[in-house]
Amino acid sequence: MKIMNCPLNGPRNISEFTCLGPVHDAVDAQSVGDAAWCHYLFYQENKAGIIREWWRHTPSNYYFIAERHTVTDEIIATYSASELPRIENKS
Amino acid sequence: MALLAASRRTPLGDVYAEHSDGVLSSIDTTLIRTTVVPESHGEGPIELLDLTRYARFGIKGKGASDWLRSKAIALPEPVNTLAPVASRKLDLVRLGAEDYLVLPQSVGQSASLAALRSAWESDGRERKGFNAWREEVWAWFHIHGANVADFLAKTCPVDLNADRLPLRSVVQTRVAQLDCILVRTDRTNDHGFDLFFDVASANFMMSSLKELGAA
Repeated sequence: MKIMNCPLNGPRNISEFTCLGPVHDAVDAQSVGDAAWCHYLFYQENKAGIIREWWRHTPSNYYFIAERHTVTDEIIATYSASELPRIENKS
Repeated sequence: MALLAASRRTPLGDVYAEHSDGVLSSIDTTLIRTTVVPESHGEGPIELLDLTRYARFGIKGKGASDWLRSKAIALPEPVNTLAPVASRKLDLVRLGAEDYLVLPQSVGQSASLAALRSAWESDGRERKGFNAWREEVWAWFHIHGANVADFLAKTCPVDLNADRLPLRSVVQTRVAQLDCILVRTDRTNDHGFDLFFDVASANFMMSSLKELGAA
């Protein structure tokens, strides 16, 4: 069984987690145009390489961010969403 | 039919009336114990108690921590631990930054829990968390026995041995392929865990554990 490290609960079987898709900037629903709104809802970059994704540890309903390589499926890092600004400033 | 109309049932069909206070022991002696693994070769049995009938109360969401602090209740630190609230005879389980489960220390004595629930319900402040409906949506089992950690290892991926998981620890994981919260309470003075999981799956959990015990 593949193991993923939950920032709250520690290392757990991957079957305890749900992937919720890539992290991307929210749009302002009041001012955004149709094309941008459509792009926000239905398009994903789908790049080959390391991406940031939302994941959820299902038994504790804890949402966090994982960095995963889409080609090798290796999970590089996991961290709380509150750490994202600090990590983005560093990179 | 009169009995059915006047009483409530646990998900396993155990008929009961609302409990009045005054049960002195931490476990009501009228509870039906289900033997999951019988005693053999000098090793004690593993038994399961259905505590679903007893009161519990959960709040979560913004303001829950502040509300509990305002009642002079010390919060468990870190997340995934239990802290006794001696003055109120309650146990406070922290499941998240703003997610709490309150249990009576003695399951038959619910007056203090009812008082806390009532204080929360009548509090008019805007941010006090919201009711997590833990009595309505979670079944509550207690499983105990000297070899309970080895037994649960057949179906739970986390190491529950006493040296790895001290008293008052909380594990949020899966048991019998169900999302389940385990709290090490040792409430029968034996190595034991309270299990909280989807109330609609109580029968499945019970039969799965019995099947594992027979395997």
